[in-house]
This record gives sequence, structure tokens and C-alpha cells, in this order.
Amino acid sequence: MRAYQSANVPGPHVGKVASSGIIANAIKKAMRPVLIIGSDIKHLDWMRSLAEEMDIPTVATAHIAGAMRENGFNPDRVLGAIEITNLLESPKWTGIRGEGQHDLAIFAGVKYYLEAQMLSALKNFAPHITTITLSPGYQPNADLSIPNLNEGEFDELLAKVTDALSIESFRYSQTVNLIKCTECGDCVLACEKEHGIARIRLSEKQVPVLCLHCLPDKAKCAAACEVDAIRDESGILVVDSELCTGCGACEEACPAGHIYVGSDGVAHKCTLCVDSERIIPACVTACRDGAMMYGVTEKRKKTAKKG
Amino acid sequence: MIKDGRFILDGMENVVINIGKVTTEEELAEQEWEPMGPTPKPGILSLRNWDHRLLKDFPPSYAPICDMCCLCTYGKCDLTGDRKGACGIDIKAQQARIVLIACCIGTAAHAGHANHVLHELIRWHGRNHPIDMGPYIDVEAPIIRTVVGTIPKTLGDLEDVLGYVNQQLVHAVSSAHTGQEGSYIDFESKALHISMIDNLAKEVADIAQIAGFDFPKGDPDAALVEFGFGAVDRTKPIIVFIGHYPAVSVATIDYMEEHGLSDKMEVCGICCTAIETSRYRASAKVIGPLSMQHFFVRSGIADVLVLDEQCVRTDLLEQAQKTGAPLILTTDKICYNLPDVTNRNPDDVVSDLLNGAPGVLISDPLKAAEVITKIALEIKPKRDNLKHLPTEEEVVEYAQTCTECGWCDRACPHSLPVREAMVAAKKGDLNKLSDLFSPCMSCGRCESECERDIPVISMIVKAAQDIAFGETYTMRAGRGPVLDTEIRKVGAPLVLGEIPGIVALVGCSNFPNGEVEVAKIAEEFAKRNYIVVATGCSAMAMAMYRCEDGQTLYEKYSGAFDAGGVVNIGSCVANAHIIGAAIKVAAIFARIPLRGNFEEIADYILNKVGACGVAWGAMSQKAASIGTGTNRWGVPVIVGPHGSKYRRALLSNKELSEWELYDKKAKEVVPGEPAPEHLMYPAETMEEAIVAIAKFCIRPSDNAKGRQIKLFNYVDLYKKYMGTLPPDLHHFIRKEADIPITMKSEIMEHLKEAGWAPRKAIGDPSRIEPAEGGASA
Repeated sequence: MRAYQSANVPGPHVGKVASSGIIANAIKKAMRPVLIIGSDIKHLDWMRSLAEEMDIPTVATAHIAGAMRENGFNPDRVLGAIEITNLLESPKWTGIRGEGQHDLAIFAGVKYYLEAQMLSALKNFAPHITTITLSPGYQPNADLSIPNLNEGEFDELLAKVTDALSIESFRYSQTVNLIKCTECGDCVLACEKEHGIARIRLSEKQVPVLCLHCLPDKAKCAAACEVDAIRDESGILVVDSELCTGCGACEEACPAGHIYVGSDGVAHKCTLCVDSERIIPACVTACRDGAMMYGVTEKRKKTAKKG
Repeated sequence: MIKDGRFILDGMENVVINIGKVTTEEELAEQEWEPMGPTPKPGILSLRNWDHRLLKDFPPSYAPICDMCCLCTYGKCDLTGDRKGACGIDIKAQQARIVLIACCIGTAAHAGHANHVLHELIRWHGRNHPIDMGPYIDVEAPIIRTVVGTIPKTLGDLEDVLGYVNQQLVHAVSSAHTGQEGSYIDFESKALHISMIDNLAKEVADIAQIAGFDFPKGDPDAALVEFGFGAVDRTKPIIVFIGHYPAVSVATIDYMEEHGLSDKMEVCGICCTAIETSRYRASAKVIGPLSMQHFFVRSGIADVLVLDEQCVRTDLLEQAQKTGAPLILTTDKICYNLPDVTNRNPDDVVSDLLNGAPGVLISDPLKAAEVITKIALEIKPKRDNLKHLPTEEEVVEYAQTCTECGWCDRACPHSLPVREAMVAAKKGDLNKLSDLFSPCMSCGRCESECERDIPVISMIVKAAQDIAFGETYTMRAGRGPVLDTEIRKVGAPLVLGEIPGIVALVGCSNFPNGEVEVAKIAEEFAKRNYIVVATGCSAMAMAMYRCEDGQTLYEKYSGAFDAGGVVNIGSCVANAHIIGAAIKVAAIFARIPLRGNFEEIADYILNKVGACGVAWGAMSQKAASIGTGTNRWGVPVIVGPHGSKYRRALLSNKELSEWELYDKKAKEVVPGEPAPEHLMYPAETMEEAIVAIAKFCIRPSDNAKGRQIKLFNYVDLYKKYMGTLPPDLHHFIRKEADIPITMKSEIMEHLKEAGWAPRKAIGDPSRIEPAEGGASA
């Protein structure tokens, strides 16, 4: 996708266009998110309910604090756009609430080109932070961005994010684009770094063998497990290694050949990193060719949207 | 008193020996005006400790606009995150390197101007032409005194200063070559150095201009000049000078006066050449700042367009051809592949232009003047019947070809609602197009993107014709330096804080909402008794605004460098006099020696002179070097939101930093305060900038009364725009006496909540801590 301001091309590393499900999932996943509201904000009511319902601290940049207060929306902090960016870059900063550096920064309504610069700074100098932009134009420097939408489409997307935020269970999916995949194995390496033992393996043809993320009540692996060690966590199946006996029944049952019993004697399967602190799965971030994609939808459909 | 080496010349009167310059009696006397300080003609390393101290308190914060380096054939190199390029450079160093390159380009533009204008003036008047700044200025070249350690008496002396400038530029540019400097801090130090050299070059340029063209010498009552599209008398042949090099416009005015043509022609200017020309003759009209360039050329009013150098659109040949106006180029900076006719007979050149030659290059201002005048007179009748702007009906017809794809909005640097204006225009409503006239800076990216070739710029000018041509304003002609007498009056109240600050509006005025925001910032601080000074496009932008009572800022406020003044210092090169004024506060009020004594002077300014630079619409590399040089002298600078695209800010962090200053009186390191809080700060909106300006004028040297006044303004403005007390207020209150009396109860409550405790004011605040053995560190 072309950037909203089409010359805003930072380089080889550009973020993903995200669906409402991916955005909602990331917000729910974050431990210490922060919402940064800029001077061009047009959806203050929506932002207020996001902050209130998800208990997200807010920073007002420029002079938007005045307008926010008039709307009954009291920002937690007032800082310049460049000042909050600078604070987010510092691993020493303990965040708006003093609970630790934030892990997710959600931007909304900062002037497009200034926001691009803030996101660039965070992309390059704050690897500890995932960024989302909720302004209606594609920002390549954000990890997750809204696509280029007109006003009506943007309103619709926000409404869908609201819906997705309120549901308990998501429907997950993951795919690898085999044309883009160069069989480098970065996804496996990243997975191993994140989880100790890699949950994804490469097939004989050197492409990653992914979990199908079957619906939990229909998954063969979970059904095959005699000790109920494969549990449903908000729509994704996670192996409880304390309970797993390493019997291999799941491995036999999996139609994709994904789940397997590792050298440590327990089964391993992909969780899209829901059981780690990562907001975007490690393999997705690691894939430099953009071949690895994941999807999160709010509704239980047969086919999931691509992320 | 004869120096060593002069004896060699004795008895050799008949032999011409060139060994540099022979020292004259005057020069010997001059050498005794002040003992030489530690750093005359500093090289890159001489002031590195000062830079590192600044960069420790205000560390660079980078926002890459591009993650790659494409400067050598190793590349393109991807530097994202922690990657390194083929030469070993990382992304921070690369950003700092681009900052350095931008500052070098900016410095070269000003130094090019200085070299150019000085050599032309030496050609006109000779090397011995005296520099006379009038009876009220004794410290006539504060930057040259401080940096170089000399007092220039003649134009020839300025040439020596430029020798040093040019040499420093070579070294600074050199270090940006592939595989040299690798530390971002040292790239920044070099950027600070070369930008100080920028300030020096500007002082040379403007002193040369004042001496050579007899511009006003610090005149607070400089004339009010007519301003705006509407100020131009369209019945006369109209010559428009664009850029920033006054020799050609001055020569043209002289030529007209010699030939009795002054009343018969209109001399107008856009950008800094306009300011310079009106400093020469107040009868010259100022059309407007850079942002008006494209609009005005499109209107076709100009009969002849003359380009000199610096901030000029690069497609003006094409634009001029559309209007049938011949284009005269006058310097080697802009050649546009046109023939150099400097040595041809002027009448032949005029004849060629009348017969359809689109333009010529004439590098001799005196020859150019003749051609410009003659062609303007001859071509005027031929252009009378040409139509340049579409009619209202044609505007609607163009709009009707619009498919509403929205790429105009996406191409606009400021995301202005162009599509919306087209949609309205389709139905015959041109108001939204007209509304774009003020915020748009006429860059034309929308037109260039449009697949239907819709002439958006022409349509905006047409739709806004009542505003564009109906309004005229006034601008005070650039007055030049601040008088020593003025400094004597304001020195103490400035250092103690009783005049709350100097707000210097400099550079371009393009963003984010055009000229009106610069004017509103000026008005806000003039009303509050700050000293508001302006140069360049900002000085012009401020003219295009009327206060509630209908007066322009220059009509309403005094042109004196004093509390509540609105002072047009002059063009972009004249902004050297703003730094000069801060230096003169140190020299005249505090009696600190200037000569070769940069660090002590900059330390004084940083800690004691409450000045804040504002480059609100900064766009160019010149603005990068202007701002960075200002920083090295210890003056914080606020840029507009587009300033974030310069890639780096210099920010302190009051939440994470230890604030330490050295108290020269108590001879100890003491807890300081975030005053100023940042050194280079991009603000998102005008309102944010206004609040930040008030805050950035706070200095550790303020006495209680001064601090009260500064805090009153800060709190009052913060409340106005944010609706509450500033949450960081406790950082700026040393003791109860600092609290503005009318705000005492609410502030005391805030202080209680913030866990504030009183602290000692600092006797003599400094950032230079003596190293062991007494030398400064």
C-alpha cells in the first residue's frame, strides 16, 4: 500500500495494514498501552470510550487538552508530541502511571507528517514498543496502521474495533505467502528466541509448517489429548507443559503436521505468542520479506481475514 | 610598536613583496582594544567542549525521515534500527550527518551571498570603503568580534573574515564524506560549529550591505513600506525581483533614478530581496514572503521577472513563459540553461527578449539594470491584453473535470482540503478555493500530482482575487542592528527577567497555516511586553495581518528594541543582528570581553538572556543553519511541526535528567532548573508554540520580580490554551517570592500536591565548570 502522503517512504521496513480484529487484539493484549491524542483529532468521543473501557492512560499533545476537557475527557498527561516520543524511547521511563515503560503506543489525530516522524523515531529507537495508528491514512512507520480510508470507511472501522474489543474470543489464522517466502528460517529462529524451543519447524521443502488454528472445539490435537493439556485461551489453543505427558497423540492427530513433541519431552505448538508479552507474533515481526501473516477476526467465520 | 618580521621590509621600498598583509597603524591600535580571548578564529575542535556540554544537557532526539543512506555507491544502505551501512555508519550518525550537510548548505547559501555582495560592493566602492554604523553603534560587529577577534573597519576587512568562513566550510563539508566522522555527537558538534559560521557570514553580508548600499543603521523609525499584491500600481511597467541578493535591484533603482524613470515604473520584490530593496528605497513595494511566490507569478502581473539567488522556485522559467514575462537571471546560482549575455550589447538583448527569447543570464548587476529597465518599458504595452488567470466560469469548468480521486489532498505537504474545494467549485461555489489562499504556500504539488492537469494554483488565486488584490498592508523597512543605546536600556531588565524575553521570529513562514500564525504569535508577545523581533519571510508574514483595531502590527507597535516593540531587523542575513543583540547584552550590560571569547559569551546568553527563536514555517537548509547556529550561542529555537522533518530535536528531559549548573559565585555545582527546557523543539500547533515560547524565556538568572513576570505569562497562556495550571510549574519556582501575586493561592495548592520545597536561587549560573588547574572545561 502507498503511504497516505505517498512520498512518505521510509525504507525497506514498513509496517502492516491492520484489520479491526488485529487492532482490537493488540490493544487487548497490551499490558501497559498508552493513547496519544493529537491536535487533528476528530473522534474524541470514540477515543474517550476506548480510554475508559480499556483503562488506557492518555497523553494530549499540542493544545488539544483544552478541547478534550471541554468534552469531559481528562487526559492523564499533557506533553508535546516530540516529548512523549522521547520519553517512550527511554527504557528508563516508567510510563504515565509509573508502572513501567509502555509496551503499546496508540496514536490518533497527530498531524500526519509529524506522526510519521514520531513513529519513525519509535520504529528505529524503541524496539520495546509496538505502535498503532488510529488516524485515517496509512503510516508505513507504524507497526500496525489503518489503510487509506475516507471518512465514512474510517467511522465503520472504528465501530468494528469497538465490537472486536468487547468480544471474549477471537478467531485466529496464520498463513505464509510461499511466493514471498525465501526459506530463510528467520521465523523459526525468532520463535526459538521467544519460547526457548521453536514451535514452528521447516518442512522438507524449507517452508514453515504453521498451525491451522482450528476452532478449539474442533481441533484434532485437543481432542486427542488424554490429559486435557491443550487448552482454549480466548480462541487459541495453548499447551500446558505441566500437564503434557509427551505421549505424541496430538502429533499423530494434527492434519497439518504442526504440533510436535520436542526434545524436552513435551508438545509444542504455535500460540501466535498470546502466552508471551509480545503484541505482534515474533515470527511475523522477524519475517523481513513480509511473507508471514496472521489474522484475527471478531466473528467465527470459516475463512479469516488476512492481517 | 613594530611587529617582528616588518623589519625585513625596511630599505626595500622599491621591491613589491607580498607576504600577507602589512599591518597598519590603525590595525595595531585595534589590536589593543581588548586582550585576545582563548578562541579567536575557532576551528572545529576549539569549541567542541562547549558543544558536548550543550549536547549533554540537550541530547539529540532523532526521527529519521528516511531509514536509508543513498549518498555513495556502496548503497543504498538500509540503516533501520541497529543496522549499519557498508561504511559502518549507524542510523543516528547518519541523521546527524544529514543535519550537518543541511547546515553546511544553509551556511554556504549565506556565505555565498556574503561573498557575492561583498565582492560586488568592493568593485563599486573599493576595499577601503569604510564601515560606518552611525553614531549609536560602537559595538558594530559583535559576532565578528567574538568569533574572529577583529573589528572590521572597511569592506576589505570583511573579506578577511570571509576567508575564515570559507575555510571552515571546507572542513565541515569534508567530514560528511563517506567514511569520516562516525559519532552522532561529533556530527552535531560540527553542525553547531558550521552554523555559528553561518551566523558570522550573515553578519558580514549585512554589514557590507549597510555600508555599501547605505541601508538604515539601526533606525527604530524606519519607513513603513507598502505591502501586498494590491500595493502594486498595475498601470506602470512592473519589475519583480525574487530571491535574496540586492545588488541587482539596487542597481536597477539607481539606473531608473539616473534616467528619471522612478515615477514611471514599479519596483517590487518577493522574499528577502523585497526586504533588502525596501531598505534601499522605501518606495519599493513588497509583495510578500516565499509562500506568495508561485501565486504572484501565476497572476501574470509582473512584466519582467528578475531572479537572483537563494529561496527561488526552480521552475520559474516555465512559469514566466506561461505569462509572457521575460526572465532575467543575475547570478551564477541560478542559470536554467539560459544564455549568458553579460558581454552583449544591452539593446540587442532587449531586442531578443522582445522577439520571444524566454530569458537571459546577465551576471553584472550594472548591465542587468539597464536591460531590466528597458525591457520592462518596452514589453509593458505588449502584455496589457494578455489574460493570465482563468475566468470564474473557467474555474468552474476546470473543477468539473475533477474526478475527486483525492490525490491532491495526499500530495499536499500540509494535507489541505483541496478535493473538498474542487467539489464545491463544481457547483459554482468558489469560497472553499478562496479559503485555501491563506494556508496554502503555493508549492503546486497538487497540480503536479493531478492526472487531469487541473491548474489548482491559478484557480485559488482567481477565487481569492478580492483578498489577494484587494488588501494592502504595511511593513516597517528592515532597520538593521540594535543600537547600543537600546541595549543599555533593556540589558538589566532582560537579564533580571523584568522584560520577560526576546521573541525572535525568523525564517520561512510556510507552515502550518501560512502567515497568520506568525503574526498572531508576534501579537501575543508584543501585547505582553516581550521584545518581538523578526527577519526574513517571518517579518513579511507579520505584515499580512490586521489587529482587531484594523492596524497592522508595524503600525500598532513601536519599531524600537524595547518591551512591547515589533521590530523588523531586516532580511534573513540581518538576523545575525538578533544574536548580535544578545551578545551586546553580555558586552555592554555585563562588560564581558568579546574578543575571541565565544564560550563565555554563549554561556552568558544561555543562562541569562531570556531569548527564544521561532522558525515557525522553517523549510530550507538555511533555516537549519540559522536555528542550529542560534542554539550554539545559547538561544533555544522552536520550529513548526514540519520542523520535525529536519530529523532531530535537542531535548532535555525533566523527568529523567539531573539538572545541574555551576554557581560561579559560590564556586560549586548546584541543582539547576529546566530553563531553558529544550534547545531545538518542534511544536505541533501555534497554541503549543506560544505556551512553549513563554516557558523557554525563563532563565536561572531571573530575579524574583522577573521570574514572577515570566511565570505570570507562562501560567496565563497555559491556562488560556490548556485550561489548567501547567503541571511542570513547580520546576520553575525557587522560592515563594517567585510566585505571581495574583495567582498565589492556586499555585501554592499545586506546589503542595507536587511536593515542592524551596531551593536557593543560583548566584551566578553557568554551564562551564572550571577544570582542575583553573582552565575552563
